Amino acid sequence: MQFYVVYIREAHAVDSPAPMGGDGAPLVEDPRSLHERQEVAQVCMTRLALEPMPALVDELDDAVNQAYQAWPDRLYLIGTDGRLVYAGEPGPFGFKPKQLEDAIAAYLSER
Amino acid sequence: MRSRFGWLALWITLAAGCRTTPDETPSGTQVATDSNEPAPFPVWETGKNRSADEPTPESRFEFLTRLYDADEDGRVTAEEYGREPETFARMDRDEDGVLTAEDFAEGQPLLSPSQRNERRRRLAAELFAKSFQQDDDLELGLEEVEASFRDYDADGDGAIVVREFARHFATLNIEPPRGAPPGFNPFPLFRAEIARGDDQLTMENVRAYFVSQDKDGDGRLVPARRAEAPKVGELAPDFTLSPPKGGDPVTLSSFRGDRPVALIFGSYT
Repeated sequence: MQFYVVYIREAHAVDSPAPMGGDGAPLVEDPRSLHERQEVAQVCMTRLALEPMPALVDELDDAVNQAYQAWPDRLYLIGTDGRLVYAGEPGPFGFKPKQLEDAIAAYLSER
Repeated sequence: MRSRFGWLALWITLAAGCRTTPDETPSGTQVATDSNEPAPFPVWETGKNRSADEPTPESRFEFLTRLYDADEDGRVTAEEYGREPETFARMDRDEDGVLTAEDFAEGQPLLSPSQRNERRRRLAAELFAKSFQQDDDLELGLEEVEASFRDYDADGDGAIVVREFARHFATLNIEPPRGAPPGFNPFPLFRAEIARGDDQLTMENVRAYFVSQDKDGDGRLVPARRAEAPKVGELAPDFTLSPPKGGDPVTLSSFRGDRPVALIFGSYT
């Protein structure tokens, strides 16, 4: 079983159309380069203690984000045949780790 | 407020059986650099993840002044900001050419006057999209859009305010985002406009938008289809991406025939 966090465009950057930050939420501008994006991704992985999982960083063209309609967040499970086994709904409301967990358990037990 | 990955972090922590406390979270995450490297891209914590030696801006404006207010006069000019003019304009809500605390104050309209025009275009686009959803064929004529407009205009005053949009949204049997809580208001960000009652869309705005979109001038619109996400059973779109610290790129399809892959998409905010 392989997990990847795929870091994509910030959802609520300070300078974005839907800004948040302050009051407990992190403050960050929308990264303008791949290098900046990599830095924010690394901070995110470390601060949220996600580092047991490896991360990948979507490039500035947002190509992978687009292909998976992944923004602001989303979960997928891909089987060994390369086909999707689980496709979560878009976040925030559709971001349901428990569903992914169940899908993984079901998939692994079938094999 | 939990960050976007907050619940996931909790889930991972529990699943891994290695509960960490914020104190144990490694500090100094601003990626160690030697003097040759560019300054780290600032990411500042305001919540429990903040370490003791970290800058402590509590608001978006404070964050921006620390980054850009070179002469420390409590204002950020376009020259000081130095990034894209559009982004500066978006943040300069009162359009006085300088970023001040007022631009970020609670209750400040989310949009400047020129952005409000842009927003009217977006409201019109929303109206068109809803009209399209209620339409049987794949085209939209101006008369259908005008009919939708009258549907929305609950008080019949010839102007739709955002509030009417929101109310109509609830009665239309048009699905809110899946999983949204009952009574979900799709326009929470526009409360200031709603309170002031000044964010209006008139039939004139709608007609103007229609004309602007009807590029071939045939009086019919074919609304653009939203891109669709890949579905269960379909081949996962392949990609090759690199990890944040550099290192070897990873190609999704390289796991084919080997092991399943879970992808967790998200960002820090």
